[in-house]
Amino acid sequence: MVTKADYIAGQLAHDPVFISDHVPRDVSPEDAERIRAAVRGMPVPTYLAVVADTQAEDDPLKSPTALIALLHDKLQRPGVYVVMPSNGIGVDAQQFGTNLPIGPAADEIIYSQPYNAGPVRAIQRFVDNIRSGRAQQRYDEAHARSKSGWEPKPYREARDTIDDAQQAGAISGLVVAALGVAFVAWRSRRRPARTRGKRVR
Amino acid sequence: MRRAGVSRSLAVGLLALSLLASVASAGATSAADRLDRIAAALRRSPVFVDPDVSYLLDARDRAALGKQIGAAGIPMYLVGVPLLSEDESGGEADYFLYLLHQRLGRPGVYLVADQRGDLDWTSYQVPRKASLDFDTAHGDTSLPRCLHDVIDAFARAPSAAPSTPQTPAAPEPDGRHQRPSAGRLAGEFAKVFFPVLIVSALVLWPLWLIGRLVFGGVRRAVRGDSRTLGRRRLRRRAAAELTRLAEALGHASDDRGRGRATADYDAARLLYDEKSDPGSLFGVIVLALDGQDALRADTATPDPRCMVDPLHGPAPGTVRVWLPGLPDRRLPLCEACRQAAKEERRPLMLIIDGEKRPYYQAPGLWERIRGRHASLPEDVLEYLGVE
Repeated sequence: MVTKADYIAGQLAHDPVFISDHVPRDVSPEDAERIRAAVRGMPVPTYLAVVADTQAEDDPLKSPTALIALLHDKLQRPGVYVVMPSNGIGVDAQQFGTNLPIGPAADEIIYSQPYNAGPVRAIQRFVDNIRSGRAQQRYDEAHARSKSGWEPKPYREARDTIDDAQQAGAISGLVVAALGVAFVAWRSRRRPARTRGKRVR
Repeated sequence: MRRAGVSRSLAVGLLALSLLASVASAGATSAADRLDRIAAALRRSPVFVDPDVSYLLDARDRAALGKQIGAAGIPMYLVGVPLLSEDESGGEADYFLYLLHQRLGRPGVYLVADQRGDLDWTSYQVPRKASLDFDTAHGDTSLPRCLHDVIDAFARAPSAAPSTPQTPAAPEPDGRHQRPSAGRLAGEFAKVFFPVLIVSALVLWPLWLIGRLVFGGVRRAVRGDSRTLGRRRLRRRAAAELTRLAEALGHASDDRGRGRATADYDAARLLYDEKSDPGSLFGVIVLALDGQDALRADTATPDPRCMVDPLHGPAPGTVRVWLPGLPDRRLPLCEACRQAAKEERRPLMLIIDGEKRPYYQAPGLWERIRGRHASLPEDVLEYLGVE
């Protein structure tokens, strides 16, 4: 019987980036390519699993930490192990045989990225935090800002643009109607005497 | 303009249609990966449990269920798989089973258990009655027990003609990460624009009419009706205009209008002293204004005053127009009355014997001077019986 850990470890053995095929609506093929490109930027061997967040209570591997431990047990390779749900909210990382600030690099994302950043931006941010050499400072800054009530602005989504279009439609509809009524009213007051005089007769 | 509007909305509609078609085809192609993987596994064995939900059934359960399916006498496929809003089916079990049946291309009863152990099934071209007692699958029993019961129920179900259920509705395409096209945006714009336009017009037009009525009423109540002169206002205005003409005459030693203005003044003065009926008092006003016009324009032949209301000002030309109580002919009108709508051209009213009447219908003086202008002061004197 193949468990989730067995399966993912088997995939990671020949490809350091595993992206679950249960989540095509969260991770498009283009997104997958960008995620792979980001992971290639890591200074040490890095294994990333983008998993489906099933929120099933019965799942013995619902904890990412437990999954990472099992993945390392099965792979037996040094490096950074990252498990991320397909929506990009909550990056979990552990390292075996390396010494990088992966804790602050992962936690910084919680405070600096909005809820709809998505998996690509989350992993890009993680890698960038590691490569900057300032992961701890960045984490401290983001954490302090968050404590002062600051929140990252959500990224624009298609829905926002559509909402804007509808709002523009509503406002212009109202304005055009108002202008039309004003124009008709104005015309009815300022009709030239000659035409009116004729009509009276 | 209307034709342009129609063709534009047609273009927007076509764009929206083509977009819909492209979205639908994209939805069908993006469902490739896991369905292929699952279909390949089902070709080897009728029971497949995805590693993500391997906790649902242990090896012994799987073997037992596989054996049971093999003995059921009808083809059955059992799949354990996460069903999530992020997957190709949008988490809809019936759509997942529909896609899986398409991919596998075999008739059978397709059963799916999701990550919570919830069960769903669809029967494709199986010679068994497809309706099952719902309680069979949703009792308090464990998943293996439940699956056992469902498979058993299908195996024992009475024969029936093979049938294919209706195609379930595809999940809404997920457009979160795609920039909406210009056509889509135009469609969304139009979808709101036209209803708002129509509703606003329907609301604003009566509102404007009501507003005009209310404001007009308020203005009349506050300012009084400027189109009607009562006796007190007539008398005050007549005295004021006479004084104004006298002052103007005092400053006009070499004005060409002096002769006319003096004649106007003499006639007005006399009229003011001898008569006190509203028509005469208004005659005083018109005479005094005529004299002021002569001095101001430096001419012995000033323009007549506006026929609608002489207080409007001089009328440089005549317009063929209808006024109540007058024959239809060319009348002097001020510029504003020329431009005004018919209903705005209401003559100045005087209150005569407690009744409002147009000033030119006042009895006495106005019967004589109505419509005559060139010899206005002389006509007044004649009316007064002065030679």
